[in-house]
Amino acid sequence: MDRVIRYLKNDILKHIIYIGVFWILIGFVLYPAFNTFISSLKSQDGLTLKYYKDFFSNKNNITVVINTIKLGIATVLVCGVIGTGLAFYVNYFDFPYNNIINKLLLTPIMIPGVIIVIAFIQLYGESGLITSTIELLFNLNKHPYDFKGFYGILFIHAYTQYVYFYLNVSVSIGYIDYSTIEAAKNLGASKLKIFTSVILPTITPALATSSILTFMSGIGSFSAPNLLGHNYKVLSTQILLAKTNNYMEIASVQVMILLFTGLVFLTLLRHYERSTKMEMSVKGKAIKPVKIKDPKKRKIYMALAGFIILTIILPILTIFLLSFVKPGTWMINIYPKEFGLDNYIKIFTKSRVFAPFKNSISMSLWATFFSLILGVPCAYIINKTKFKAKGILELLVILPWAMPASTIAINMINGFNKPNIFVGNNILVGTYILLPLAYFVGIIPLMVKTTGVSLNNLNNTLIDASKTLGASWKNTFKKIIIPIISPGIIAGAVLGFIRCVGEYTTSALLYGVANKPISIAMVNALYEFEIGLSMAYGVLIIVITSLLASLMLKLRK
Amino acid sequence: MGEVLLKNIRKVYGNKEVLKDITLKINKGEFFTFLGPSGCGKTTLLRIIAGLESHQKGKVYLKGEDISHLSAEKRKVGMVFQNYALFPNMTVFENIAYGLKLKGLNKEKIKNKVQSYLNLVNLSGYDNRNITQLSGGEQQRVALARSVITEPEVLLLDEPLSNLDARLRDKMRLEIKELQKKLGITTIFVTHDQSEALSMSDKIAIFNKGNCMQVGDPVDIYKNPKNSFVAQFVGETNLYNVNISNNDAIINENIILKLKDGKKGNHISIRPQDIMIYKTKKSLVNEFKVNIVHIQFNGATIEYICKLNNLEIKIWVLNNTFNHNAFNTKEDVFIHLPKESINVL
Repeated sequence: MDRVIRYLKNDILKHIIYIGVFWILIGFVLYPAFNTFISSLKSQDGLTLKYYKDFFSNKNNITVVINTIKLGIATVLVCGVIGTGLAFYVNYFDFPYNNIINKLLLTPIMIPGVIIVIAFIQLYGESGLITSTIELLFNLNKHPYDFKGFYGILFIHAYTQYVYFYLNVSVSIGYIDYSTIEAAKNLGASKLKIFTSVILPTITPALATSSILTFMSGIGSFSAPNLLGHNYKVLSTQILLAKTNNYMEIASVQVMILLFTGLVFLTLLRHYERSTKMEMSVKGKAIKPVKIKDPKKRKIYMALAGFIILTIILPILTIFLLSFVKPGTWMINIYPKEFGLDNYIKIFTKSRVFAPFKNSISMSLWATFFSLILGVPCAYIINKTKFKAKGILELLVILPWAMPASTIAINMINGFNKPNIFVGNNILVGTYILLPLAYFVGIIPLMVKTTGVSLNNLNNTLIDASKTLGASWKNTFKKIIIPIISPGIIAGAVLGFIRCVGEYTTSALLYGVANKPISIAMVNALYEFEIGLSMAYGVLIIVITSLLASLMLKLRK
Repeated sequence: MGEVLLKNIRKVYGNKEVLKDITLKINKGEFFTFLGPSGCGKTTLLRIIAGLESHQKGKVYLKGEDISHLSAEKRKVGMVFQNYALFPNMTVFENIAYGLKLKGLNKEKIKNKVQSYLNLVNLSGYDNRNITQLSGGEQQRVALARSVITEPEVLLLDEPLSNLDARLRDKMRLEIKELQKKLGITTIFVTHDQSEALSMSDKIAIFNKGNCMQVGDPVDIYKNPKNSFVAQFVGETNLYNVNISNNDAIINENIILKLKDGKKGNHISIRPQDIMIYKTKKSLVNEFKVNIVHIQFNGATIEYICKLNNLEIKIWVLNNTFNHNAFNTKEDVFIHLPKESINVL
């Protein structure tokens, strides 16, 4: 009896937390996904494969699936070349401004995709600033290029998604042990041989990880295909179409195919990633950036640096510049002529215009807050306990990672369009809460991963030391664990918030009158030719995300 | 300060039995060392005493009270970890005050007590330093002060000197021992370094593969090892397989050593410094003619490796004015193995 009481006293809080995290993960991740699966099979006569058969008997649908996969693979290839090239460019060579270029190269991660798409349309679209300038300069009668369809989307993907490769490869270049390069030279290896036998194996795991991330975001991408895909149709845009026309079973089938494609690729690459993982044998010598002494080569390098800076800055400058264009003054002219603060004044004085901004901030805060409450204990259980079911927990936590945003949105609709026990038998479809919940589900893996990294760096003996000094589990968590891992938690929260605040895909599928977010307002303003207003919304988001990002970097130091 | 009694402790990891039925008594105020090679179970046993590790069988008693079921924070046991485990988010003062704050002492009392313990470990004026600003030795002292300030019944030290360089290690040995004497605290020290164990301990328990091989005071363990493992692990020795009959130990069927009366066993051990080496035959018992195959200069001593038929014998001679350059490689010399220096195991 004594033992039972002692057990309950010591472990009751722990068990409440275990039950809590499983309740949330099953209720908001697994159950909705399961409902989508059932919805794709359910007809009046019971479970059937009819919808799948219908889907695949239509040639157009097969084209859509092929288009999606083609886009995913092309995105991986293009981003792989650009991101890896840039990582070597910045980390392998010693030049002035490398630091600034490095920071600039990371900016696309801080800007929500939909803003970049709109900025690109303003620059390279049919009546875009660059397009019109080229036409004017060369006196052309037709557009010099067609910025839409497959290549248009790919161009935007290249800009927004090279960052995964850039970041991961940069980190792995840091792991290259310079003494192994010296050893290879000493053994008579050529430059090419050194690259293939020493450098490449070190960066291969980073390439595999980045390929997974890029492929997943490539096949799930929505804003670029939606805004400039035209005849190039992919699954994510078709899901919105099916949902808008209220064909939920078709949307569910499309979601299942998208999910399946993602999972196959994820499994293949995870397998490859594991087989290429290698341990560093000894603490090595860090790589020394190479100085280019040849003045010709130096010039080429500097020109390249200038080009990179310009390419990255141009869309951001465009967003800032166009946000000052006076409403209704830029309709037929090639370049805008009248500027003012009107758009900003409109946002902050008209409550209808301000509402989307307010909605996005508050929904993102809620989603981030919930992801913290769930993510920190989950990361702790996965990384620091011997809990028997932690493998299952880990699987549930990374599941949203395999789900493109449109999948999460459809899952939420299928999961909460009827009363269910996880939310006290309420129906959530049509309520304010559904969209922030979808945001929350989308950022769970991010939160758990970033917190997990800090937890892994937290030495277990610190926890033991706290215990032997008389601290309870609660005190140890509050006074030792949380303060030490807080930079990781803050980084996760900031990145999560940034991802939610400009989110477009789930928003397009789930928003209602009460919670129209800023991304939807931006696109609507664009369609209503209020480009200035659309861009002013964009500027507000960029300012907020950059402030948060710099705060995060400061705290890390 | 309390005595610790470990009764029939057994610990299994998966299929591996890391502690096999350990029973030990650590007296009040004693400096007790668990000595053994890595993986022998000594740290696991220490963590079981601290309550940081569970065990399958047996009991831990502190001052006669069974504490096996108590969680770590309730055991009144202080611990210094191998990596010191100082909280990086706190200053020196905050680290040392941590346990007192948890006890709910008022600010004034905490401040005074921390100051006096900072004095005790020679770190006055270090209050507001960050942990990262401290040297290895200073970190060590903070960890010590932090673990004893709450006045635990017993202090556990898990290889606390292994991260220090040789000179600092010698200095810290003395400091730890002095602190322990001053506080009179029962201390259990874990190490794989036999010289640390011999120089600091009141009593030593030697561990190997989850078993406790021998318990005794340092001199006893060094002089009278109970088995070949202890003989080899504690100090250098010459260890040989033997057949014993009529007080004669026969090695390799052709070398016969006379033993003290009535000794039985399969091995004999003789320390290198107990063997005498000289140039002219003295016709003593257990005297042999050998050839020097290798000479190694060790500073304070000179080591001679000699061959008697195929048997290798290690001999240490003090490197003083008389012995310096006394013998040369390949030289034939005589050695004497006194009966009373031969341990039969």
